[in-house]
Amino acid sequence: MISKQTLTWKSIVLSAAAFAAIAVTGCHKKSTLPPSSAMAPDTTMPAPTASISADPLAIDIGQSVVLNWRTTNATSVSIDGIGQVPINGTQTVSPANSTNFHLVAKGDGGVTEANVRVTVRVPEVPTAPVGNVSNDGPMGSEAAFHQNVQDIFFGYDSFDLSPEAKTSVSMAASYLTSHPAIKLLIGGYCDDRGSAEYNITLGENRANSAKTALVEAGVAPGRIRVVSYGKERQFCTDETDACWQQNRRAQFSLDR
Amino acid sequence: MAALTLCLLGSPLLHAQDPIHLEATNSADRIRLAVANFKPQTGDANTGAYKQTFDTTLFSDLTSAGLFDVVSKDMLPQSTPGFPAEINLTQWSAAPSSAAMVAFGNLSTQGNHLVVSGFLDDTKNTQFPQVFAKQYNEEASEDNARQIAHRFADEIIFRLGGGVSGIAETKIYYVKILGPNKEIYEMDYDGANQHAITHLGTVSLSPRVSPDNSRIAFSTLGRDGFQLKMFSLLLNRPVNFNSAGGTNLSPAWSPSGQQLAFSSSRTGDPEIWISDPEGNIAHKITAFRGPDVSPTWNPKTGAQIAWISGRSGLPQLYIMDADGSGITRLTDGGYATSPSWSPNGQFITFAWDRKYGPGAPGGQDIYIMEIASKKWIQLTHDGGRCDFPSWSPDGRHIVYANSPDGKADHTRIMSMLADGTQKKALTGSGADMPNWSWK
Amino acid sequence: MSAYASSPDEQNDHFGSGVGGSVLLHAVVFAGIIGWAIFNHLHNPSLGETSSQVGSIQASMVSAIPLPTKAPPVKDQVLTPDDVSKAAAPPPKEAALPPPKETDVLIKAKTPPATKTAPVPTPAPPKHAQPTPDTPKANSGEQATQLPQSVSQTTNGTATLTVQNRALGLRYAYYIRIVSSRITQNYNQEFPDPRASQDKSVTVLFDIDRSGTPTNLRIEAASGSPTLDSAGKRAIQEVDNFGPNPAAESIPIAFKFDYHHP
Repeated sequence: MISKQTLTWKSIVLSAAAFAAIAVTGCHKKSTLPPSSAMAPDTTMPAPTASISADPLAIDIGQSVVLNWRTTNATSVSIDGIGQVPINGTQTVSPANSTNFHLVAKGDGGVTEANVRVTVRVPEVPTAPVGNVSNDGPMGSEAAFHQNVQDIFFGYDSFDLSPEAKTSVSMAASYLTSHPAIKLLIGGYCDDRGSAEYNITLGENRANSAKTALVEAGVAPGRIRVVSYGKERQFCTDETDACWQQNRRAQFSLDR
Repeated sequence: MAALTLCLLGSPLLHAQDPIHLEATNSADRIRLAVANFKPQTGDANTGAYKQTFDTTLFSDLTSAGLFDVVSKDMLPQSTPGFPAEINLTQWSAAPSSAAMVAFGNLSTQGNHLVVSGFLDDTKNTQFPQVFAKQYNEEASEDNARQIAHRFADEIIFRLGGGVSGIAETKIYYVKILGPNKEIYEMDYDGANQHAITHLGTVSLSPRVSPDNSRIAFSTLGRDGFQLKMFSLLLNRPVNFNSAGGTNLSPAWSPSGQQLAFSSSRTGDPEIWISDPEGNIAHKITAFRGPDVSPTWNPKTGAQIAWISGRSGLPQLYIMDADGSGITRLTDGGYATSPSWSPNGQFITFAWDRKYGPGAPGGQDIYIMEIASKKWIQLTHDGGRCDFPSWSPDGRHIVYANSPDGKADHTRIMSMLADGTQKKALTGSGADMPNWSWK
Repeated sequence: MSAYASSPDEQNDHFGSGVGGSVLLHAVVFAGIIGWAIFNHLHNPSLGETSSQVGSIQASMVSAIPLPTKAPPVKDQVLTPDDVSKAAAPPPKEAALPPPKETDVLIKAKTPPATKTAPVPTPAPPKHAQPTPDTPKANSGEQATQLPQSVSQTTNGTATLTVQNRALGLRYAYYIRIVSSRITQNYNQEFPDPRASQDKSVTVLFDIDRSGTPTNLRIEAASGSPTLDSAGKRAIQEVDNFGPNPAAESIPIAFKFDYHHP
């Protein structure tokens, strides 16, 4: 009993320290932290493990892919082209070209890498590279829209914007500013757990967080329509972490 | 050392709210009631079918009332008395039936009418055994055979319930899951007679029937998100409800029927608002960042509202006066949702996941909290995900939604006694968000 | 608790001035929350609690909830002779019998009426002192000396209902049983002060009007323990209605609470 309690206690301390470290690095993009002395009892940390998968592995341009990664014993995880990410997570991306997603997991026991390749099928007449030029009418192309205005994802039961989400929002704001004809629909969604009524208000707060950030970045509020769906009309209905994370989002779409 | 610290930490966190501790009471003192099969007075096949429906419904109503120790049918005497003159009370008061009360009577079809005479006798009172006699006369149909049984059962409960009214004639409104869409449905309190109320072809949620059973308020997903709607049960069509911007949902009737509380984000953040039943004179009663939703009035006083707020993080249960003052938090953690205030004003039932969070194994179950003491009791255990409890008007039953495997479209509606016993499913899969009528 | 605080502190050392105070604060809060979540997760099984039922309780109810299980704590029996019409032999008053317990009462009720030996109104000291007057209200020609009665055993003594109208009590015995049961359920036995109330009793009088509502509530014989008096009164005040009164007139009731903590 004593030894079990001690073990328990040790793991609490370790976890708390690890999470604190992540919280700090997440905010400041510091790559690693020297192990704190609270971790001293375990100097021989096992090497991190990492895996990353993409679903689907091949898409047409403009479609999106869900990346899903898992690591253990890692304190810092990054994916090339995306940047710092949580140690486990999912993210939806819409690569314009076939891309090798390269994940680096750093931990106290070393560095581990994992890769997944997403093939993007380009139509016969390739569309112009995505930029600030609208060549698809005043609303811009659907693909360009999704490339530049990316859904933002939220933490568990949270409607605060993460640093990643703020980056997405400023990118979206500049695209929207340069495409003044675009009208935007922000859908607020929640994962399948939790209670339906509460989730609708939480989704409302998520969509409104995104709207407020866009308005503060200079997008006229009249261009934005907000609808909270809560956990209704979800596209992903599996009971998995990947699916839940995918559903905790403010989704941007063209409000035609 | 570690263990000591755990205890010091643990006690205030885990046990800030003591559960209700009570000595068990002897429940053996319910009135023992025998329900005789009714005697058919006419021999046609229809009468036999009606009698079958009537007997089954009456027995089920009285059993599920939770008031009586109903004698099992195979312990009843062989005789089928149709009239008071035909009953030998000592036969019924003797073992094995050992009944204190006997319900019996007869049933016949006369023309296209179904005529039922019901009697209730006190077996211990040989001189004046009759408690009451009642005759019912309705157009002959299966549904009326069931409705007459409900009325007779409610009459027995009215006479013997010590002041409680029966609920056999009450209705339950709920959400029927139809693929991606959800419509508002109605059924009898025992799950019979399920039928659609709305046909809107979208997602409609949170039906709440008015205290006089004349209207249902609910919210519907439209182009601008969820908006409140009003449906007249008298006119059988939607009636006007003035909408505003933002998301509007989870309506709750005041016991007077003159006010509606609901959650609205018309000014940005979802707050609790109160309006009249047409959506006019709306005013906001909460003002705090974070979701505020799922209000329920104290049906006894009409002066207080319980609701769910995410102002401090995960959703918690709060109460306040109907003017927004006197806010008190009732839950101290976990994930609490979907409150329903008991008819006597003393209790709130709600859904609670006390160990919600990443990696937490918590299940969402139905609880009751005594408001004055904040003591709670857990009513469901390990039966899958539970939500949306709603009190019956007699305060003795709770209807709720349950998904045995956690999947949303496997949700069904169940009822139980308010002490957590006698759980039974009222619907199959695909029914959610039940709301018990006020009478 | 110190462990939670220590890890952020050390990080602070490593970061030195590079990390702002707000970051530290966030880290502390975050670590605390995560630590607590993990602590909960790990801690609960160590206490041997089941995952579904931490801190939970038996499915019994507070006495105020109108629940089925909340039946009165004991058998209550109406001292109703089955045959009212029989002219019972005049009960010998002050019979030298032990204080009638509810079982005695029951037996007496069920045994041949002719052998009624322990009259209820006997003011036997320890229990059951029934100071009912010889029912001036007895409007039938029947014997007024013995009144219909229902006795319940509570955990702290006994509760005795006496109908001060013999004819009504006998005719509507089932209703009297229901009334007695409701009151006993409402009686908050925890409320009376145990020392001040020990071996005391209070009798409250009221009428059940034609709608079934208790009216005209008053204390007939105060116990000398204010908490016991109050508990007795409240047991009746909490009832809005007993259900429809089957009699065409109001029914006078005396309800006596004996407090005897074993």
